[in-house]
Amino acid sequence: MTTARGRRSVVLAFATLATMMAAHATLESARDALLLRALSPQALLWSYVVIAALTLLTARRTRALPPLPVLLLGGAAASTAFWVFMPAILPAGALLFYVFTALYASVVVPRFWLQLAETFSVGEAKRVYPWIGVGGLLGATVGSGLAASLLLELRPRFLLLLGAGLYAIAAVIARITPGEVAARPSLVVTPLRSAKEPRQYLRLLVIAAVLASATFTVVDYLFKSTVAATVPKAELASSFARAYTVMNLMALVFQVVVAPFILRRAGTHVAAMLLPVLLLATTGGFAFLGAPAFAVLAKTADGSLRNSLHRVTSELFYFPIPDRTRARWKSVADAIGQRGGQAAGALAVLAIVAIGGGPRVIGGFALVLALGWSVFTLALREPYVDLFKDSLRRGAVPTTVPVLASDTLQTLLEAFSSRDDDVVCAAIDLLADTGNTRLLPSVLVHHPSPVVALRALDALVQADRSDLPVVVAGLAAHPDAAVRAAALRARMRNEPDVDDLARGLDDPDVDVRATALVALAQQPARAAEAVAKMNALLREGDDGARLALARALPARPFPGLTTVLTTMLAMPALPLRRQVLRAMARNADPAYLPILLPLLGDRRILAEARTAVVAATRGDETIVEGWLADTALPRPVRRHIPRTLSAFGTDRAASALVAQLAREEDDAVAFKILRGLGRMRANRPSIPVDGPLLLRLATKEIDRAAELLAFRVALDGAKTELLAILLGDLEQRSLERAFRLVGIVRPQQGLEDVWRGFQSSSASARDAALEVVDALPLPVRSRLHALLQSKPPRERLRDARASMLDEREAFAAMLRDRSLAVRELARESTDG
Amino acid sequence: MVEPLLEDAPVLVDADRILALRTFLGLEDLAISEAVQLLGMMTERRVPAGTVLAKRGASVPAAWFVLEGELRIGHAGGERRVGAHEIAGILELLGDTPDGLDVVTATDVVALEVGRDDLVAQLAVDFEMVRGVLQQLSANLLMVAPDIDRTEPLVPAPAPGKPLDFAMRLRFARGLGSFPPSAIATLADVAEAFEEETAEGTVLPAGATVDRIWIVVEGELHAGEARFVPGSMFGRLPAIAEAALAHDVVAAPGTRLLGLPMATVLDLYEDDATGALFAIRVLAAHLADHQDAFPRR
Repeated sequence: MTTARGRRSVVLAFATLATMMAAHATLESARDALLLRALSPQALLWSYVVIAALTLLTARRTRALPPLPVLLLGGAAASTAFWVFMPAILPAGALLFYVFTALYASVVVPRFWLQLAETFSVGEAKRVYPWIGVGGLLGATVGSGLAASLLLELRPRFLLLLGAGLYAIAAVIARITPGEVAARPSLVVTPLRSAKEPRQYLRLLVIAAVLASATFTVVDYLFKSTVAATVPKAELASSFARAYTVMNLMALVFQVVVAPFILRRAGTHVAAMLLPVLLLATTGGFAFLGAPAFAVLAKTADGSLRNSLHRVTSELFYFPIPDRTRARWKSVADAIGQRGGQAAGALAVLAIVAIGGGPRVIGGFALVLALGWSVFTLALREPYVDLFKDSLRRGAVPTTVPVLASDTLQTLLEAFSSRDDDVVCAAIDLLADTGNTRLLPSVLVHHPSPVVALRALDALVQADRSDLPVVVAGLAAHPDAAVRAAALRARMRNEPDVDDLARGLDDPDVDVRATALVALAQQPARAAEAVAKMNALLREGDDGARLALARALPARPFPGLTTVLTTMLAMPALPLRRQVLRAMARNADPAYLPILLPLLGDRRILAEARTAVVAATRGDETIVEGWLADTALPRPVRRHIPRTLSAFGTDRAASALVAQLAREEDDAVAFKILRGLGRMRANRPSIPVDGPLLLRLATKEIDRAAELLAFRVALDGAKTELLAILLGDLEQRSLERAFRLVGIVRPQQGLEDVWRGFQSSSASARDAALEVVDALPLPVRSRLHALLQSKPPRERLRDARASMLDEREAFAAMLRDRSLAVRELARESTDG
Repeated sequence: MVEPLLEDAPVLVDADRILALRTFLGLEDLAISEAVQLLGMMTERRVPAGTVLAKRGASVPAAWFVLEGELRIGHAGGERRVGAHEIAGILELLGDTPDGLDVVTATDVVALEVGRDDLVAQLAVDFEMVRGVLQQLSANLLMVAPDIDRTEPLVPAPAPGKPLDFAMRLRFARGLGSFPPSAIATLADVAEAFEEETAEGTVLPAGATVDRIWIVVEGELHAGEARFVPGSMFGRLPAIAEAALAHDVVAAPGTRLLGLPMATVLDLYEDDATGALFAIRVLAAHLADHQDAFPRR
């Protein structure tokens, strides 16, 4: 909201709302005076019912309403018409005018805020809504003040003409207000995983709004009936005008001084709870003590906060709802909430009066309503935060393969007849990955394409199909060598015929010969001869022959296997080394661990090495724990031990990782521990971790971020530009680590998504992330909030209440910093 | 005639779509779970002939996996057609090329569309996907433009015999082009990870795979006809692509090298997706300039 267009939007929105509310306040003073002069206070309650009925009837049509300027011009025209015809249509005209002003306000005000919501993100809204709201209060104060002054000299009817004029001016201002500021995506994307309409949240919003509106209605009745009972009729108009002026002034002060502070410091929810709690106290006072002062106090609280803090928080509650849903449902929800609540409150009061209930009973009813409102406002907290989390959950695409339905199976069966090998292979993989290999037609191993035949054979072997011996028996003479070799490997799984294997040694293809050699090595009578031939193949064969040998390596060890594996692992070809590591994982021999440990430092074969390590430990993670604590290991190796340990997924592994994290001095290893722990807790949140310790470490990271920010703020001049960028980067790293630490303690909070929200270029994503942070139960939440804001560094540092440093102090500290890069660049800057 | 839809429809993650996805060039070996992930990001679009999907002058908003029909692609180098089982716009999307493309449906088209934000968001959380994309892009680039990694000196080489201080290492790290030049903390990690070594004779035989990027500090490296002088870099693309070397790599006597293990680069990419996305962007943008040389299905 730093652009000129953005600032202009705020100023014009302020002016539009101020003029609109001035018009409304003027007409409100006129309508109360006209109605209460012409009719009894009960007429008020009937008017609420009529207003509610009409509002509900028209609510679904609000999407088809004209733009705001046209709507405002319509209000001006209608008010002028009432001014002209009012004398002729009294007393019914007073009721009609009352209904009109309320109905019109229920349309035009939500329309204004809805248009605004499409312009700002939630963070911008938190900053600018209180100030735009000031416009509304200022307008209302001026309008009611003007009305009070004019009513000393003029009749209430004149105010209708004044209101019409103000609406016309508002229309002109609204016409020149720019449209949307935020960039909108040009294409609709991925409805598949976009959030469903948050109906449960909308229901809670509507219920809270109904209860709020019903509370306002009953409080309004209590107040007006109290005033009507004590003030002469002739003075009613000026009394109401004065009361509204005072309330509007209080609201204005509240909006300017208190509301921004509460919203900034305490968040949306605490701000939203203030009014219901105040009404709970004042209506309670009225119900139990019967003192009229409590009715006045209740109305004062209502009048001060309803159009300031309550309005802002009510609008903020709509922000987590996707734009399209908001546009579709807000008018309806507002109508049901406000007018439905008004009607329900009014009918209930009529019923209480009809059965002889006095003011204190009505006060008691207001108390119950305020209590319900408070409860439902509290209930909004969790889904409000969850919706923001949902909006940040990009990239959370499905990762599980869908269960196959009968029509899917039909598709797959058809795919097996495809002439496109890729389609047939995909169909085989789909059956295999969904655990349906039993449905795979075994005849596919005789498919004319060797690629398909091999894929089918692999799938059958993996699934250990009972018909495998029969299926592979017919493949010994297959024209494709890869298929013959695969068939021979399959035959090795059971009790192979040694002569059959020996015949494989004469096969023209090296793949088949290598497979036969491995099979023979497992036969005690032929083992020595086979191993010797294997070693010769390794020495003299090409990479293809070695790879064929590696592919054939079995799950059962044979004498000399370790030497063969070690020899192959020392060779440079990556596919060969990967294949050997897979074989080692199948063998799961603890004797391999010393061979495997250094391979964790080779990123290209890391995944296979890690799997082989976990298999070779045979579930005993203490060996890997020992590696983790061994700081003498090469850094590239140590860096991958945390994730290897986390692959065990056990309570003991988690505990060892947390313990190491507390004493780890290598940042890169510490970060890997965080990632490993994060994954463990995400997979199994019930794994116990030392939460208080992790939160203390998170606090240290947040403090480190503040320290780095203080360094950066203290820097000055172009010669330190590189250093400033480094400090900014490191600050972000510390904050990320803090998020990860908190995320390990509270895996259900989805904090990885929240952190990504902060990295987003979208202001709305960052603001949504900040909303989630505000809801975190953390001891250092306000400092974290301050550091994460999109504000200049100096302001963030001030908000974080961290110590400011001068340049000399900052450099002295940086030259002693734990980061080599900070020390070096600081030294370079001072030398320069 | 394509049946028009009132709105673009979400892709149903069903067998038909999974099978269809595997028929695209380069996706034949996509694991089923990866196909499901990819489909989860996609929107199915049915678009009549003559519809403009993207215009030159701005980054492409999406890539299109064409199931039926044909797209006409206009770019600075001319025009080409993309038909069924082919992908349009993916390199421009990954490369974030500012010029973009003209993408117009030449016939009625049914296509699976993946948007930039979704793809980038997925890459940010899925390192295996990042690694696969980097490997594929590097391998393709080596295939169509094998000389592309033989750059001029990255930065002026230091005076012979001068020790390499942190600032010099940081300048070399910035010159690598493997990380955003503004990601100073990451570049500082690279600077710390550089391993200084001296070499002479064959340092890598033909057929070996490269496991590190080398910056020549003093002396010279030869690989076939190519000469790598002080300040230049060898091995970035083959190391990512895990490609076997076509020639011996030979160091002149007294050659000083700064080696950066590829494992470190990948670790840094895994720990901070920004670096990986930058590398993808650079490679894809290079490759987009050579895509007319690609094999077609």
